[in-house]
Amino acid sequence: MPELTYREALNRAMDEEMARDEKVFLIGEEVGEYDGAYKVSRGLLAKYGPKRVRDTPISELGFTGLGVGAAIAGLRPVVEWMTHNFALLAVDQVVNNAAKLRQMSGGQISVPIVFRGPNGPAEFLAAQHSQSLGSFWIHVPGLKVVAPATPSDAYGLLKSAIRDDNPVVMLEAELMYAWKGEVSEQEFLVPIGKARIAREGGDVTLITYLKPIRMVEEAADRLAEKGVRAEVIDLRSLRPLDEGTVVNSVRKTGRCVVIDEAWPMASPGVTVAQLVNSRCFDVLDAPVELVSGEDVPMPYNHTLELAAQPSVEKVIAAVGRVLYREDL
Amino acid sequence: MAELLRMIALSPTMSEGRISKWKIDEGTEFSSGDVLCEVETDKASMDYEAPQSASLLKILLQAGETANVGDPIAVIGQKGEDYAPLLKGIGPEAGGAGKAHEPERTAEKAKQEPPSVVAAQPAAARAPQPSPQPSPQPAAEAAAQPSPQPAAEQAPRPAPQAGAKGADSLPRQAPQAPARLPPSSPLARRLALEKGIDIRLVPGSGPGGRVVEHDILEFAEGTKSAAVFSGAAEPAQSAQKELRQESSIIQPSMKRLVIARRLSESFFTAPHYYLKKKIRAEALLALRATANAARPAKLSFNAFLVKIVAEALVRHPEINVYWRGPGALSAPGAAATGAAPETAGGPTPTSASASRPVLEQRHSIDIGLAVALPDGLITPVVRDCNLKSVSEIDAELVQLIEKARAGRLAPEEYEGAGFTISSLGSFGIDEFTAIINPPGSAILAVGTIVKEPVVDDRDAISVAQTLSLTLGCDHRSIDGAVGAVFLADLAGMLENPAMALV
Repeated sequence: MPELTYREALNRAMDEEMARDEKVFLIGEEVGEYDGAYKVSRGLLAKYGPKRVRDTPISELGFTGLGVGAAIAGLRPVVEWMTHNFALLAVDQVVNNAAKLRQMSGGQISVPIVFRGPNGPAEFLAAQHSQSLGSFWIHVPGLKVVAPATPSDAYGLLKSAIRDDNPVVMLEAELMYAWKGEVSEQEFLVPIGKARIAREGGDVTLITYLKPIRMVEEAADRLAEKGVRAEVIDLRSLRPLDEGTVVNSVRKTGRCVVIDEAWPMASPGVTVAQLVNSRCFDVLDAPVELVSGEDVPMPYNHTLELAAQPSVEKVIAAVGRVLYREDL
Repeated sequence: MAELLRMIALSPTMSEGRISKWKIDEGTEFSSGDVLCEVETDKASMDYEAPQSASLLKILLQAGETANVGDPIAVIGQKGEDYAPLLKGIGPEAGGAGKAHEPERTAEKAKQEPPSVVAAQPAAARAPQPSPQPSPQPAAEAAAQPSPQPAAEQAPRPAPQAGAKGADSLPRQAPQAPARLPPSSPLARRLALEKGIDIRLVPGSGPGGRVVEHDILEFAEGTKSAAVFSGAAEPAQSAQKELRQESSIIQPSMKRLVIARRLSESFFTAPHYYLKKKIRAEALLALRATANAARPAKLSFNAFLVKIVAEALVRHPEINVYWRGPGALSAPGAAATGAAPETAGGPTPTSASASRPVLEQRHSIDIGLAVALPDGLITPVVRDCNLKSVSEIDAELVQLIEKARAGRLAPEEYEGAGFTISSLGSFGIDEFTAIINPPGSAILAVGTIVKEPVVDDRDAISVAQTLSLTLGCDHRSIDGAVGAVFLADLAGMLENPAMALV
C-alpha cells in the first residue's frame, strides 16, 4: 500500500470528489494560486480552474456564508479555513444557517457543505492560534464533526463528508499534515460516526482523537513495558459519537482515561467521560480520568506551552490513578 | 402499619450486633421502652428497647445470628397485619418460613464454610464478557435470581476477622445511624455480588478506603484457598472418622475481635518501651490494713493503687495524654473540639484525615482498670480519680466490675481512659509488660506482692514485701526520661503513701 502524507491524502480525496462530481468546489484563503496555506490544495487550481477553486479575501464570515448559500443552491462546497481559530469569525454562518436550515425548512433545504482546516495547538503560535475548538462545533445539533488522525482516515472521511447532505466540520491539525501513513490505492470511504480501535488491550481504555493519538500510543507502548495492556480508541468522529465502540471497550476494561487537548470545560473529552459514566457505571473500578489541555490561554513560552498540553507522562499518571497503581 | 425493625447502633462504634436473646415472642404486644431483645455489641450486651408501642409480628433475625446496623431484624406492627410486602427484597431467607434461620442449621453452615464466601468459581479476573452488550444485565439478573447478596447480609458472618478491617473504613457513626457501605467502585460492588462476597468485609485499598476490583479478587483468592483447603480435607476426614480431631474452628466473639484489633493496632503503631521498678509494699499494705480495720467491707488494694496513681498523674500531666493523628486510634476531631471522653475514646479508628498528629492533654484524671472476664478483657474507667476518695473509688470499682462481669458496661463506662492499670498480682505473676490501651499513652503493669530478701540503706539484708511495677509508654508522646521521672515519683508515693499528701 502506498504511503501518503496527511495533506496528500486530503488532496487526493478532494481531487477525486471534484472529478467525480462537478458540483464540488473549493473556496478559501490562498487555496488557489498559493496551493493552500498548508499545500493541501496543491495542483487543484491548475486542474479544475478558478471557477472551482476560489481564492477569497480575508473574510471568513463572507466566504463561509457564500459557501452556505452555494450549498443551499445545490452545489457541494468545501470551505477551507486557514485555521479553526479564524473560523470563530464565521460561527454565525455555521451555527445559525448551515446547521439550522434543514430543520427550519421542514426538510426542504439541505446544506451539503464541508468546513475544514487545522485545529488545536501546533507550536509557538501563542494564545490566539493554539486553540482546540471542537467543542464549539460538537455543541451544535445539525452539524457533523469529524477529526481524522491518520492519512487513511483523512482521505476516507473527507470523501464521506463531501458526499454527506449535511454540513460537516472537519478538524485537522497543522502538525499532522506531514504525518505519513498507508492509504489504499483503491477508492474507499470511512463512514462518519465510527470510531477506530487503534490498539487492543484489556486493562484500561484510552480514548482520544486527532493529534494526541500518537502521544497516546506512545503512552500505551510505555505502559505495555510495565505490563499494562491499554486499549486505544481513536474517535475519528466527534458528532455523531460512536458510543458502541467506547462503551464496549470500557465494559471490557473497567477503566477509562480520556485524552483531549481541548480545554477541560464543556469539551469533547468531558462529553465522552460523561457517556462512559452513564453507560458503563456498573463496570467502572475508578472514576473516569480526563487528561486535557490546561485551563489557560496557551502560553507563548515554549516550556509552558508544552506543560499546558497533555503529555505521555500525564497520560501514564492518569492510568496509574484508574489502576490504583503508583508504580507506573 | 407494619414496618421493619432494624438493627441500631447501640454503642458509638458498633457496626454489627448479634442477637443474644429475644425477650418477647412473636405475636406479643409491647410498649415503647420495653426490652425487645438483647444484643451483643462489640463490647457489651445491650438491651434493645422498643422505639414505639406495637406487636412483634415476625422475628427475622434469630438469637445467635448477627446483623449489620441498619439490617432488618424483625417486623413490627398491629396484630393480624399483612406484612408480606415488606419482606420482598429482603431476600429469600427473610421472606421464607425461617428455615434458614434455624440456629442449628446456621451453626452447621458456619462450620462448613469458614470464611463468609462460598464462591467456588476461580478468582480469575473479571469473567470475559462474550456479549458485546453485557452490562445492563447484572442489575436485572440480581433482581431475578435468589440474589447472593441479601443472603450474605443475613447469614451469620463466620469470618468477621476480615470485617474488622473493613469496618475501619466506615465513618465514625453516631449512635442509631444507619449502617453505610464502605466506599467502593461499581465494578467492585458488582464483582462482590457475583461472587457472593459481603463487601463490608473487604478491606479497601483505594483512596479513602475505596474497595476496588483487586481488593475483591484478593479477598476471593484468600477465601478460595480456604475453601480448597476444607474441601481437600473432607475426604480425609471421612476416611479417618475415628481419628481424634486435631483442631476445630471456634468463631471468636465480637468482643474478642475488637480486642484483637485494638491491641494489634496499639502494639503495631505505638512504639512501646518499658520501665521497671521494684518497690517495697509494706507501707501501702499497712495503710490499707489501718483503713480497713474498722470497715466491714474491705477497701481493695486496687483502689489505693488507683488513688495514688491519680495523684502521680496530677503531678505529671505529661503522662495523661492522648496521641492523636494518622495511625492514632481515635478521631482527630475529638481532640480539636475537646469532646467528652465517652465520644473521644472510641475503639474504632476513623480515617485519620488530619495529616498532622496532635497531642491531646487530658485535664481529667480518668483511670482504666483492666478486668479479666471469661470472654475477654475489658477496661472500666473511673473518672476524676483525683477528686474522689479511696473509698469512693473502691465503691465505683466494685460497681463497674460487677457490671463488666454481667456484660452490662455502657460505652461511657469503658472508653477514654487517660491511663490504665493492669494487675496480674492475683495470678501470682511477678512482673509483666502490658500493651497500651489506646487512646491513652501509658499503662502500668502491676505484679504480685512477694516476700524476698532486700538490701537496705545500711547494707543489711532483711526480708521485705516487694511489688514489681512495669510502666509501658508510647514513645511518640512520652520520652523515656519523662516516663522515668513519673515512675520514680509514683514508686516513691507507693512506698510511702504519706508522700501523696505533701
